Amino acid sequence: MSFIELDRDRLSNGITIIANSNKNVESVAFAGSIKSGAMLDPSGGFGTAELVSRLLTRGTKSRTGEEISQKIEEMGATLQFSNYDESVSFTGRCHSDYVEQILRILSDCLCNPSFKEDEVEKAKGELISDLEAERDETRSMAYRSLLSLIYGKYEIYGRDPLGSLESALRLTSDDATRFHETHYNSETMIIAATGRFERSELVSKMESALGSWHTKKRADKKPDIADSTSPSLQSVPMEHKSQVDIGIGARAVPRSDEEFYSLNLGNLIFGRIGLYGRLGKSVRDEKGLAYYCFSALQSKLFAGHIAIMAGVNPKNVERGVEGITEEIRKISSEPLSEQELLTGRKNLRGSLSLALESSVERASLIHDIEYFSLGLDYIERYAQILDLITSESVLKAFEKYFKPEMFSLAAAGPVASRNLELPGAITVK
Amino acid sequence: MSSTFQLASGIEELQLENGLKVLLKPVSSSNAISTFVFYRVGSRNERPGITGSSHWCEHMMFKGGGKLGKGDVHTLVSTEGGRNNAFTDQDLTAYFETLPKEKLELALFIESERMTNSSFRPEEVASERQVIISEREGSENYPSYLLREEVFSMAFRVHPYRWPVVGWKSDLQNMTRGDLYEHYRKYYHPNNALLVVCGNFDLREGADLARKYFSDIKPGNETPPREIGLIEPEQNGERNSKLVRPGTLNYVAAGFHLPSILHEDMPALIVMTTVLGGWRGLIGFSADRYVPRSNRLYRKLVSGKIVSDVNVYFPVNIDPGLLYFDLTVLPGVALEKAKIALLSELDALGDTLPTEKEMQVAFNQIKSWHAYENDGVGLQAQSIGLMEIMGRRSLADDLISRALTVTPERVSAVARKYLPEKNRTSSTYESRA
Repeated sequence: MSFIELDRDRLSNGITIIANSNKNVESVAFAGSIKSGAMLDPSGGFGTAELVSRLLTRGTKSRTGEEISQKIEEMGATLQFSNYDESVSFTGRCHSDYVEQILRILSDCLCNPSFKEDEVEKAKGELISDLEAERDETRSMAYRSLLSLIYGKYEIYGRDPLGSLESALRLTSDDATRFHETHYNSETMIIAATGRFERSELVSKMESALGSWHTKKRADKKPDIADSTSPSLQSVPMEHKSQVDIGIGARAVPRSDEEFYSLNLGNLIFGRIGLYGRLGKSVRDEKGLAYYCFSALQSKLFAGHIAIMAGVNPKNVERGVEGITEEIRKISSEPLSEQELLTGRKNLRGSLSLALESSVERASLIHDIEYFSLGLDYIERYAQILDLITSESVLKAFEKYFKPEMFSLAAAGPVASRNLELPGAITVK
Repeated sequence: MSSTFQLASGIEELQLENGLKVLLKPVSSSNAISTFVFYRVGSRNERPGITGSSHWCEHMMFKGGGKLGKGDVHTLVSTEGGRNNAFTDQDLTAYFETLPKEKLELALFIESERMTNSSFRPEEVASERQVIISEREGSENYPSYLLREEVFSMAFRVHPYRWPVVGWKSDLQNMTRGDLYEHYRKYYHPNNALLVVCGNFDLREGADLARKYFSDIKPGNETPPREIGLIEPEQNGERNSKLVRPGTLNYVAAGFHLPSILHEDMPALIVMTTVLGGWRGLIGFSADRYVPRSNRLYRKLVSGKIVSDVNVYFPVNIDPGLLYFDLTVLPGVALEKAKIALLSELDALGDTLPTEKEMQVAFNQIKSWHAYENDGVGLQAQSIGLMEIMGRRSLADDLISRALTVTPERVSAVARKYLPEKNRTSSTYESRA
């Protein structure tokens, strides 16, 4: 296991900096976030967080969007913002000579966006186009439908961070300005950086670029998360498509839950390791039903879920759901073998080590360590954490969160004539 | 900016008697090793009736044979916390493992077995047929895939670049185990392969291990020639088509024949592409989600509220390939307007020289992405191998350094040469409710 040195600093306005100096590369990679994602969208204004994130590089009080892009690309650098349910994230790369300049642009984009009418209209047009594209994608539709079944259509984590067509049309420059003033808070901001720099110099440059950004204080309270929904089924008929994408999922745990590690290792064996684990072996390799069939455990700050996704020929939809259900039953009723447990541990340990290989992945990993409050010694402790996972702890977690009766099902594609059943209603022969 | 990254520096070459070329690049700062084995076979080596056979063979390489059982490759690598996979392209097929640095031997063992012992059991061929058809059908769900397939099949009439790497569906339904096994035996042997190792390993030990695992493998009876004997004739007029399907958005795509990646015009064409649509590396694997905006097409089409998205794909091919543009038209904008806007911007570059500022932005992007797209030993091993298969391992370094000396006049000259109407193939995708 390889370790890296991590240091935490705080700027005068509360921004958290996690730095990892690495002189083996010429560049610097950043990964950051600010807790101003779609969960803060006002009722009736779904999509506001998305719109704001798209507008950050589209013009500030002193630069046009074109000038910002020109400046970034003149340096051969990159900087982009993306909106998710909890946070807006940003990533960037630049040669180490340009760190100060890229931080000043980041600061300008975050602190002084202008939200000019014409840019708002352009960004809205692109947002509407992306929503329309999503409506025509079977995989997106299956996944979005599944999340709405698991969490509730209008609830945090259940709704689309892009918003909806109806609300996107209504959004205005004032909505964006108000959202930014209310929810962009320096104290919720994290910047992780790795690459060629001296830590003290980097922090000093960050203080100079971002330290004077003063935002409204905001109570960082836990959002209301709706109670678990009953398993349900949704078909999205798209008869002109060739393939059906199916999503099967249920609530799991937030990242901070003590059962996360057992569930994560179990899910690795169930639907990820070595081209999709047990699911891949059964549904893809043995039955030849799908090109892809995997399971993702998404554990976030306040909730989590498991989503099993597969792409199948329309005539195989029922068999695909049955095959997945059969594997769900097995893993929630029988302990992992010792070999699976050992393999899972080694894989997770090795994967973490390999994630340190590239600057982009390293920055992302460092960011997540801080975002989920895992502690700066997390990488050092990781092997011990994994050693505490047992077949019993995995089975206990799976009995709790992984029974077929708990799973919802969404299918998008040529499904009009299919006879779909919830996993809990399927009797495996 | 003083970027000094050189992909091809520090590489040692080893040539085994059976014809296998081995490229070893130690990177002492890494904790990992990455091995790539490239075979000089892709969809360009197929013929009608067996389109998709190279890609299907790639799938079969995970099904066991020799000392490897079905699924063993994934199990062996994931047990060590490594990553492995494979990909097939028009010109090549590649297999890789990235593992902790002490596991080089495991990767070489896997690849040596795969090179010669894959079994292609009939029941596995049958099962994989469904998987590959499913892969194709998954792609067919995307309008952008259908449009790309349409443009390539129109632009090429003779050369195998006209069919998709995954193959035509009827071929996937009808190809036999015998067809596949013949393809495997023809192309999978040491004298048609390249092994690249990059990472933290001792050079002598790496060379010894390469010899240990590969030198006993018998060479193929003959090395398939690099030239496939099919030359696409010059295009003498625009080709176009119109797809009309159910959907929500409209799309436009256009392709222009470019020469081989080894052609002397390629550095100028890289700069031309960057001025038009920005640059995200020669290979594009590490491009993440960055959208270049300081370029002519973005300014005209996206900022001009005509499209929501514009992408440019630069061809890195052994034979003359296709420079490919695709646009997602904004709702409410006429398809024809988007197409005309794209084409007029392409034409304009032949008439108006890029400004000094445009050239500087292009140079800095090209230079930076050369380092970004080789971030980590896995990406480096991949790039080294791809370049070697294209012609020489120093190709990427050479292309980048030569691109940085291109003049605005050369950019306009190659735009006039390669972007005229007679060299164009375009298609539109019109969605109907």
